[in-house]
Amino acid sequence: MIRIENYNKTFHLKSGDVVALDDVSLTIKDGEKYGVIGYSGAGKSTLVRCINFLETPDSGSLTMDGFGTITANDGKLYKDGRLLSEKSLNQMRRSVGMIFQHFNLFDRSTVFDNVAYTLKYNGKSKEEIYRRVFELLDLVGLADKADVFPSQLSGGQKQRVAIARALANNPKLLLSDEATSALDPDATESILRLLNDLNRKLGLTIVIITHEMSVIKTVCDRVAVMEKGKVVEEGTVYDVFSLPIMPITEKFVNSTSSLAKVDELVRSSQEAGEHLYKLVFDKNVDKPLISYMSRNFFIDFNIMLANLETIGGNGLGAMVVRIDGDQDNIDKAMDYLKENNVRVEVLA
Amino acid sequence: MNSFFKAVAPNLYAYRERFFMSCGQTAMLFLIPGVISFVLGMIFGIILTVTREGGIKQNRILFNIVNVVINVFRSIPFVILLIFLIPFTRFLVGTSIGVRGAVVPLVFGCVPFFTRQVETVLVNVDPGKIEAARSMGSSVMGIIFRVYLHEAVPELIRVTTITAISLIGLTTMAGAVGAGGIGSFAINYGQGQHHQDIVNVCVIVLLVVVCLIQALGNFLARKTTNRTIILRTHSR
Repeated sequence: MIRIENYNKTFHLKSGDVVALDDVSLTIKDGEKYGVIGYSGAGKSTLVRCINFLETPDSGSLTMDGFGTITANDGKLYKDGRLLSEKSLNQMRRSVGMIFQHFNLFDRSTVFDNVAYTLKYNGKSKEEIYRRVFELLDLVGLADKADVFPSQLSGGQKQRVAIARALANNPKLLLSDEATSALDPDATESILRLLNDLNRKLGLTIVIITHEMSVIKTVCDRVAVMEKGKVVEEGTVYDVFSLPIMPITEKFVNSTSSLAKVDELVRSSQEAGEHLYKLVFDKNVDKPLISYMSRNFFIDFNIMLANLETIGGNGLGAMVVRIDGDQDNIDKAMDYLKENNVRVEVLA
Repeated sequence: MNSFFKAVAPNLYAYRERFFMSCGQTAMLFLIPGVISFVLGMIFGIILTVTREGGIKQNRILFNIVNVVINVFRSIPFVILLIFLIPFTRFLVGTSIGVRGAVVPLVFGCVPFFTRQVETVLVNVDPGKIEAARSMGSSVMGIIFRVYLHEAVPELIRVTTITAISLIGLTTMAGAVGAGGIGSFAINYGQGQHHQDIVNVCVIVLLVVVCLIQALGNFLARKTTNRTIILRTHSR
């Protein structure tokens, strides 16, 4: 388990102070895929860099299983009341892997040497290093590229090498800082699949920083939404998707939904005097409600927009419908929907 | 062969022993300060890179000291530096003339130039790579040798070439104040005695040496960039 408590970080720039982290507290469970989403400048990157202390928080503390609690105060790190030595900080970093948006591979080293970076000069024999490197390359499916230089690899392959390199020391935790943001959709999908596999096979805890809701949706179990250095919303991905509370969260949720065009539709329906409703279904809804209502309340549904998806094996969806029929019957139908756990919003 | 030289450069032929001696002196004036400057410039360049603000071992005091010293010596023209350093040179090596006496000012003239070049190269190493190394728990020394220097090898070869060529220029100037070498030979026996053929041959010799150094540098830089050449293979 990783517990972040009351992290604060302000950057003092010439153009003024920028609050990157404002009293952030989070708990990430073992084996969890935890997403942090936010627009650029929201502080999500700073947050993840404060987990392996590439950046030192101004104040706050981090507790990690097997390593204890590190407290930040005045830009310095303390452990057990004493200044944290560089040696033990480096030791801690070796148990936390990290991957980056631009891969950050060593261009003048082959794939083999990149992956072997942390293994060398560490008292390991040549055979041991050799075995481990190929074990890792097998894991990411690049064993045939051991002697190739990074410049000969595609973006997705580079990120695979970076993942292999980050996992060399058997870390329990992998930090992913916008790892798919520079990749094309195919490569993104394959990297996300790989992260899912690693999580399952190795029990790896993964913290994923992204600005893309689709990444959160395909990989994460839980998500924190950040805005202006604060975590404004947190929960299971399913809950956050089905019932976003903050406007920014709704914006992110809508970014992957075809319902984004709803505003336009509402305007034209208002002008035409039509009845427009938004119906939100979640995992508790599994009846053929529409056809039932149509038959029993004598109303007609015209589905204008719909977005149905599966998150973590559970269905979730919303649709915007135009309903033609008698107002009494419409009201009855809406009551019926509410009884069946469908959330109803009147749009027009 | 001899008669050919006699015909083309009669004065040079007459002073040929002096000429070969001068070439030897220039070689010493180039090699000894060159090696010392290479080591010192690397060290100072690394210090400036890692101790700067945001560097991996930030240290404002050390950075400022090195930075100011380098700036001061860089801004003094070499001819002035030569005479300015005479007392210090005498104190350090016992003499201010000859190859021994020239080593000190040549190092002082060369190190600041090379330090700045090394610094520029190292600072331009992708910060993402440094960050990746830090995230893997690499020590400061590990990052210096395995990331900074390793990733910058082709660029370091390029700036070493540039510095080596400018050092040859400096050695000829040092010759003017009694260090010997091709520079003083060209002045004393060529220009001083109106033997244009001597000056011409000196120019040609220096030109050839500079071209050779440049070609060697380019070759090594290309060879070490090596992004497509496989150095060794791992068969399973």
